[in-house]
Order: sequence, then C-alpha cells, then structure tokens
Amino acid sequence: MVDGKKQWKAWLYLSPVILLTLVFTVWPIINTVRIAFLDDYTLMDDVGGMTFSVGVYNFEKVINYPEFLTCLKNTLLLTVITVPISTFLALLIAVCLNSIKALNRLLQTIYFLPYVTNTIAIGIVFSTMFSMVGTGFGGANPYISTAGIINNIIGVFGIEPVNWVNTGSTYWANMFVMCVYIIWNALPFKILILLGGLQSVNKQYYDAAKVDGTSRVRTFFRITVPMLSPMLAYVVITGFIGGFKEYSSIVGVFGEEMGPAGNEGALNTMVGFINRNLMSGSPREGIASAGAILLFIIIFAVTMLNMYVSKKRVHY
Amino acid sequence: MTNLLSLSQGGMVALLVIFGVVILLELCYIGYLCYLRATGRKHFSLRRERQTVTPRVETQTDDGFALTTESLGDTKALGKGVMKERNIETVKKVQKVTKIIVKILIYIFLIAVAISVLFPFYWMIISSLKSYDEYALEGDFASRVSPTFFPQTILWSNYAEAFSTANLGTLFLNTVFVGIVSTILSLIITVLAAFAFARLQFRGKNVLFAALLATMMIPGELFTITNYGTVTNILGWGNTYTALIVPFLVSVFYIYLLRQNFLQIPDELYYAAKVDGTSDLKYLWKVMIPLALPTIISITILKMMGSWNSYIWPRLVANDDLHQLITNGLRDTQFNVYLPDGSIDQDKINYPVQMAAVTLVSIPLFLVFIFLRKYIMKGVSRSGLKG
Amino acid sequence: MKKFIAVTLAILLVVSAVFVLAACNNNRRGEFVIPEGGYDGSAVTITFISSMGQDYGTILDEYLAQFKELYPNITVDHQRGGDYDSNRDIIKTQLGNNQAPNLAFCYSDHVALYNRSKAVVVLDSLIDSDIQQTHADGTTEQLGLTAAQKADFIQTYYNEGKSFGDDKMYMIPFAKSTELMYYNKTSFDAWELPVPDHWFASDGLEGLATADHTSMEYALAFIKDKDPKSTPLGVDSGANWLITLFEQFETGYTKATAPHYLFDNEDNYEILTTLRRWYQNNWFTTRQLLSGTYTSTYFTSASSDQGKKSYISIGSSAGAAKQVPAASANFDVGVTIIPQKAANTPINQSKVISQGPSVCLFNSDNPQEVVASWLLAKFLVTNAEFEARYGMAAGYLPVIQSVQQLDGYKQRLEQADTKENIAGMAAKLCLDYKDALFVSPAFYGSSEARDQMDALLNGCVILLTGSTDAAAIRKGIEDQFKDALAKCEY
Repeated sequence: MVDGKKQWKAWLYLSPVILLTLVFTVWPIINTVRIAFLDDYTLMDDVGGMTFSVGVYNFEKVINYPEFLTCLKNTLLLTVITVPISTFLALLIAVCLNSIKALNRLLQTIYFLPYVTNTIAIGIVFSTMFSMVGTGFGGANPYISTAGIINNIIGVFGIEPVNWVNTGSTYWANMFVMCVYIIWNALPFKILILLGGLQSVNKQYYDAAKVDGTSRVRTFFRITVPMLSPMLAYVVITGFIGGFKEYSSIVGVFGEEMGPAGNEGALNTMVGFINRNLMSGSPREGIASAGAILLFIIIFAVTMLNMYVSKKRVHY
Repeated sequence: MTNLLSLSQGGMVALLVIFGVVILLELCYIGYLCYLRATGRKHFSLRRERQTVTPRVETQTDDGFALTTESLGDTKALGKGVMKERNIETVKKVQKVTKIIVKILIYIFLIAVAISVLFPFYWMIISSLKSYDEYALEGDFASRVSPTFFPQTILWSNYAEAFSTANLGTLFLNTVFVGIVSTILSLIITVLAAFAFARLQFRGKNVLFAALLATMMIPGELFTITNYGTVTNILGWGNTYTALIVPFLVSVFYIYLLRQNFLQIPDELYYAAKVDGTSDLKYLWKVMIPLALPTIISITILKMMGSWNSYIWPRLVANDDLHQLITNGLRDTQFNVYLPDGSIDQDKINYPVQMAAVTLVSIPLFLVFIFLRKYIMKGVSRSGLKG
Repeated sequence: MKKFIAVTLAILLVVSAVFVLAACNNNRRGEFVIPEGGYDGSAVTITFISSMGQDYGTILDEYLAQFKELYPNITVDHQRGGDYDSNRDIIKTQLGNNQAPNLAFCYSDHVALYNRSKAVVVLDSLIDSDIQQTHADGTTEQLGLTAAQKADFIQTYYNEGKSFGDDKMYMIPFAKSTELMYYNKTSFDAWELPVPDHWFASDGLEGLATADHTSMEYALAFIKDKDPKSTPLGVDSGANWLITLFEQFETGYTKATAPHYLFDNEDNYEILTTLRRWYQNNWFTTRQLLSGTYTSTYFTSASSDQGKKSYISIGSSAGAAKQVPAASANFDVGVTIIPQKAANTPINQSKVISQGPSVCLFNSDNPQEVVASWLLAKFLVTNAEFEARYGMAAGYLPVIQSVQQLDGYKQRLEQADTKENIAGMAAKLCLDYKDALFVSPAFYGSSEARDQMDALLNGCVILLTGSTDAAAIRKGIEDQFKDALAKCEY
C-alpha cells in the first residue's frame, strides 16, 4: 500500500496535529528545559531584555526550598493513600453493581455523577460541609457555634467534633478531608472502567467455575480479578499519574493558600508549587520550570515502573 | 510547620520507604496475578478469548454474578444426582436464604455508597436555597446548634442574585463558545489524524505514533509555562478566545481512542470502497465516521467537559472580564450579603448565593450527562478497555 | 527512519529559531524622553485600567468628560478592571505580550513586577517639565507639577512613588487608606476604661496585673474580664498589623534594596510571643484566622455569644462604613489612631501604615500617548473636587490637602462626631495624622513577604495551643520565622 500519493496524503491529514504538537508540546519541552537551566529566569526580566547565565541555580532553589519537601510529601501521600483505596472500593462497587438487576441503571448514573462536576466548585461544597463556624480556633478555648454538618453526623455515632479544615486543624485532619474528596472524585471513572471490564468477562468462565463447584470468593479471586487485571492496571496507572498532578481539588477545599490559616501551604503539592511560582505577585518562571521537570521525572519513573510491572505480569 | 521541617532529614528516607513498600505490595499483587494466570490458564485457556473482546460489551447482560450463584446450586445437584431429594431441597433452601441475605447486604452497601456520593450534591442544593441567617445560624437561627437539613423558607431569589452578581450570563456564553469551537476543531483534527494512523501506510508511522503517545505522560504544567509565553509574547493572543482554544486542540488520548475504534472497522470495506473509486475523505465521512459515531460523541462530550472545568490556563491567559471562563469567574466573585437598605454588607460572604452559583454551573453538565449518559459512559469505559 | 528523525530535528530547529528571533523583538526599553513641546494636540487614544466599580466609575466619567473639553483630541478608553490582583495579572499578561495599557491603577508591589520588563515610565522628567500646554479654550497649564501642586500632596503618599530603592518616581498617588482603631465608645465610657494608645505594658506585667492602664494589654484583659464571652480585639489584616508593629518598634521588616528581608530577629520573636499569648487568651482574632470573615462583623454585632463580639476593631479607613453598629447593637463608635510603641507618642513619631492605589504610566511607541496619559493622571489627582468626591464615595482618603477647603468635604469633616458619620471621623483623623504615615518598601518579592506575614502571625499564635513551656514556644516561633524567611528568600 505504500505509494507516493498515500504518503503525501497521510502527512497532509496529520499536518495539523504535527504543527500544533510542535508548537504547543515539543517546543514547550525544549523551552522548559532551556528556561530551567537559565539562572533565576523570569518572563518579565526576559521582556525587559535581561540576559541569564546558564546553570543549575533553579534546581538548587527548588530543592532547597523548605516547602518543596512538603509538596513532595503531600503529593506522594495523597497518591499512595487514595489510589489503592479508591481502586479497591471501585472494584467492590463494580462487582456488587454487576451482580444486581434492580436499580442497576439508577445506581450507575448516581455513581457517575461526580465525574461530571467541577472539581473546584464541589471542593467548596466539601469545605463547607466539614467547616466549623465559630471563633478562636487554634487558641486555648475556641467558641464553636456550629460544628458543621459532618461533625453533626458523626456526632450521632458518639464521635467528638473534629476541627477538619479551620484554623488550627491538624495536618492529618486536613489530609483526611482531602483523601475523602479525592476518592469521592476518583471513584466514578474507576467504577465505570472496572464495570465495563466485568461485563466483558466471558460468562463461560463462570459456568466452568460452577461445574467445578468453585466458591464465590474463589471465583472472584481466580477469575474476576485476573480477567480484570488490564483494567486494574490501567486504573492504577492513570490514578498514579492523576495523583501526582493533584492540585485543583485542594484549591477547591482550602483555596489558593493550600492549607488552613496558621498552616498555609501545609497541603501544597508539586503542581501547586509550580503554579505558585507562575502566578504569584513575583513570578519566577525559571524555578517553576525546574519544578515541572522534576515532576516529570518522578511521573515518568513511576509510570515506567507501573507499565513495566503490568506489561510483564498483567494478564492481557 | 515545625513538624514538617524536622521531617526534612529522616522524613525523606521514611517517605521513600513508604513509597517503596507500596510499590512492593503492588509487585507482590501482580506477581500473585501472574501465579493465578499460570495456574488458571490450564483450566480456562484465557488468552484465546481476549482476541474478540470489543463487541462483548454490548452483548453481555449485567447480571453475570446473580446467574452464577443461581445455577451453581443446579449444577451441583445434577452432578451428584444420587442424593436424596430432601437433602437437595435443604441445600437449595439454605442457598436461597444465603443468596437473599447476600443480595440485601449488597443493596445496603450500594445504596450507602450512593447516598454518600449524592450527599454533597444534596447539601449544595439545599444550602443554595437557604437564607443567609439560616445558613450561618445567625439571627432567628442563632439558638440552633446544628444546620437545618431542609430550608425553612425556600429562597429561589438566591439563584437570580447569583446569576447577576457573578455575571454568569457572560461566563456561560464564553464557556459555551469556547467549548463548542474547540470541540469542532478538535474533532476535525482528531478524525483526520486517527484515520491516517489507522488506515494509511506511510514511513515513520509507528515512530510518530509512539512519540505522540509518549507526550501523554508529560505533566501539562510543563507546557503551561512556555505556552503562556508563546501565546502572549510571541503569538500575541493574550486575552483572546484563540488563546483558550488553539493550544488544546490536539489530544493524543482522543486520537488514540478513535484510532482504536477505526482499526476495528474491517479492511475489506476500505478496499471495496477503493475499487468503487471512492475518495478517502468520502469513505471517511460515509463509512468510518458513522461506524465510530459513539466514540466521536463521547469525545465531543469529554472535550466539552474539559473546557467547562479548565481552571489554570484560562486564569493565566484570559483574565479580563470579556474572556473569563466559568470556573475562574466563580472563584473570583465575592457574593455579599445585602443590608436591609440595599447596600452591600462587605463583611459577610453570602454562602447560599455562592452555592446557588455552583449549582447553576453544575446543572448544564448534569443535563448533558443525563441525556447522553450512554455515550459518555461508553466513551470513558472504552478508553479503559483498551488501556 | 533516520530521514524522519532528521526532518523532525530540522523542523524543530527552524521553529526554535523563529521563536528565539521573535522573542528579541522588543522596543519598550529605555527612559522616556519628552517630545519637544510636550503634547502636540494630535489625536491619540489612551487606555486607562482602573479598579473602580460601577458606582465610582460614573464619577470618573464626569471628569473624563471635563478632560475631553480641555484636550478634545485625547480619547480615553477607560476599562474597569477587576480587583487589584486581577488587574495585575491582566497587565502582566499584556506586558508579556509587548502590549500595555497607557496608565493603570497600581500598588507599589505591582510596579516592582512591571518594572522588571522596564515598561513603567519614570515620571521625574514629566513632573519637572515646565513646558506650557494649551487647552482647547486657549488657557494653558504647565506640563509638570507646579510648586504649589507638589506641596499640596500629602508627602508620604507622594514619596511612595519613589519607594523602589533607586529614588526615581514611578507612580503618582491616586487615593489612599490607612489603618485605624475603632472602639465601642459606649462600653469604654461605661467601664471608664482609657482608650489604649500603645500596645504592650511598659512594666512588663501581664493582664490585669499591669499598672499601665493605657496599654492594649490592659484593655484587652479588662474587656475579657468584663465580658468573658467576647473576643475583645478584631484585626482585619494580620499582615498590616505585623508590618506596623515591626515599623513602630523599629525591629525590621523589609527594605527596598538587597538584602531585602530583615524581620527574622529576636525582637520580633518577642512581639510574636506576646501576640501568641493574647490569642491563646482569646483576646483577639484576625480576618485570616476566621477564614476570611471580616472582623468588623464582630465589632458591629449585638450579641456576645460564642466569642462573636469585639469591642475594638482595627481596620482600614476605607472600610469605615463597615464599622457602623448593627441596628440592634446600639452603641457609639470612637475612632482613633492605632496604638503605638509607647504611651503618648507625639504624632510625628507615630507610625501608621498607608495603602491604596496609585497610578503608573507605561511606555508606548508613541510618546504623545505617554504625555497625554500624564496629563490625564495629573488632571485627576490634582483636582481637589474629583479627589474629594471619589474619596467620599469609595471611602478612600484624598491624596491632596486642598480638599479640606472644599465645602462638601469640610462639611463631612465637621459633622464627624455622629455615629452615622464614622467615615467622616476616619477621614478627619487621617488628615490629622498625615505625618505619622509610612509605606512598606516595594521590590520584586514584597508581595510574597506580605503573604508570609499573614502566615507568620497565624502560625505563631496557634502554636503549641495550651502550652506554657516558654522554651518550646520560643523555639517554635523561631522556626516559624526561619520558615517564613526561607520562603521569602528562595
């Protein structure tokens, strides 16, 4: 099929993609690397005609920045907590959903709803649900006029109100809220994919299992899970990539301060770090670029590891 | 903050250890899968079945598990046909009871999950209908210690206020305009590229495709920095719709999705068309697009959703009133409480109105979703099936 | 395959070359030179980005019309921007694009940012110019500021335009505000509590034990004792509070030339240690600590339930209208200068922070646009009537002293004793204390330092809640400072 005309046509069809990719993907990669190695580069200085010397200043700055470790830690924590939990929950829900007939459609629709919402908008809703109303938080004797709806609900089970997101709230309380929100947000996609996978599992396997008299649990672990392994791998890989890019969910709940008052930046993430350097009153694009490159290296390494593991081991 | 700082030395090591443990667990799990496959394949010969996976999504019913348990009893009974009839009945009864209990538990679990999924939406909507005093438990509500679960007086005016305060009209129009234009252009580009990758032969095809796929892994933030400069500084698109549309026209993910779909259309159709003298574009338009329509619709919706939810890029390149998109407008707007004399009380953020604005922003997506649920879910799950 | 790679690389090279070349295309550098004869009457359109809401904008429109009568060929394209930060982002985007408005509302932080691209016009030559410009009606005016006009400006406001470390004038003040102390006069009178005029007890004793009854320390302890459910003091801007304290006690905050950050020192630790104790006693709160609720809500409220009542409120003079008591809370409001370092500090040694928008000009390819923009800026800020009307409508303070002679403004100042006219009281007070004003230095990173002051105050006051272990608290506060410094300096 290879003939001159075809070649020409194929490149024609691909030309918009290639052109746009060159301008908006390839060039940025080159330029980001360039900027990252220009000492203390800022766009305003560049426009002002300043020249920059070449070096690793930006990387040094990123690594020595006190908040950088916090960002890295938060990113890793959010990822390693939310990805396994949400994957497991999604699997459980998908299997259950796959086993029922009545309400199936309705429940599927409900579970998918968070997928079509605005991360920041619903983040604000979560923030109000967890937030206490009152004053003096973080002081010795705070006055609480309302503990917030979540605290009211857990109060029914005899649990003391927790300061989730207000001034003086602990890191782990904040983290808990973020994990709940991220999992809530991540479930629909995972449920959908796992459900799709479940439905495509050939029923012959289950019939065969029945003939063998295999138990339900055994069937689950020996047929369902292996058959779903490509989807599980996919869900985990995308979950990891998404987790490393976590940002807007935290902006939704805590605002751009990325943490409660008194602990600003406590929940900042890698992407938050990059964006802060881009959007603050004194932006530093060079440092943002260096941060972005470091983030890429981390994501790349983790994705490669994930891919390697799943390519080698997952049943395709 | 102090805790975090003291973490810096040993903390990094600890984190890496945690991280390592998770990766290790993952490895173990996948090793376990591998073991299962090795043993499982003998019984079920799994690999053969994988080749024709696509049409199955449609043909499968969604009650695989229920059927499994039901017929389990039957086959068992048949297999050991010598059993006494009474025994069989007892076994059947027990199984039936277990089945019902399991079913009930499953429903309880699923409904509990559904409630927790829905609760934020419920809270958003009822909050949007409350008065400020009822929401903040001030004034007449000052003696309450917990928020009301249902508004005592329903204030629809919050919605009107949200609409006018946040200038939602302009924001909606902007967002819809940007969404529609970028979706149409993106579809054209995607279809052409997917066609070239799926049907045409040319040198360097695989390399190019692999290179494009590799870009999927790079975090978008890495592009933002330069694209911001490119768009404002070099192309001169600062504060234009173009800046909001053009940089995101190419989505490798969608090209990939559509290519996979095109690949499933038998080659014979293409050759037949060629014999008839049909041009590539006509074939694409008459045969491939109709056949891949579900995927195309899914892409359309996902793309629309993307522009509805985008935040950072619009904030950077189009931060004037004229071009602001909905998410930015919402975050920037202060909803204030009005004093009895009509002046603004700038001290109080009117949360109910804010919630009303959030609800208004969410509704279009809900509507789209409810009407086009099938396509969206198919689109998203297909991406998964081919992952 | 090799061919493909070669082609790709070639394309890349070309693309990069184009970008590099394009990036060098820049003509907005160098100092502004006034064209001979100043504005030559040619037709120009100048873009003016303000932060005025619709209400105040209509006042501006009237004066823009007056300006048009003087210079019929200058068309002003007035764009109402958003708040100050979003204006900054808009202008930053435009500068990155080699475009700019002709003049815009700005804060000194913003000018420090814009100036990195050398886009801001140095005003000195314009201010000093003695070129005579002819109006459409035949009258003339001097292009620069006359000696009388210069002297009319309140000096601190005027000098803020030069606060960039190089002694050049980059912006001209437009409207200003300062921090004031509002107090519940009715309660203070009833308790016979003196209004505090300085912060910390001079005898070093804590709470009611101190004999220094005009200190804030004593006042807060006293009010808390009288109304245990209240939060006696509300501060709207934590950052302003700290910056003011550091300035008053001369313990160091920042300076315009490197090294910029001076706040990390023993004296400041001590100040924060005291503030921590105050917060732990529930003596004060700030807007940031309340997650964004203005503390004036507490000051104006009637009920003291659950800590939602304060008797002293430190807030912007621009927000004076917010300090009017709720209808159900019937009390008189007193306004005075914020407390100082020591009791009875004379006005000229007092320190009060000054804020509010200025106007800066941007370079343009057409020097006529720059001169026309200057004429407009000068027309507005030296126009007492405009300054007075805008100031009264928006709650800002006029930047020139001649507004006091205007009837309308005089009336406002004279009636400044009723509880309805708190804004008038505030305006009067600000004129009285004009020699006490100071501005914080501006440089690339000063906005970050400001953000860190909020974080620092919040972090320090909630530190080790309930603990009285002095050594641990001292260490914690030091860590907070080091952390804030590191974040500023990185």
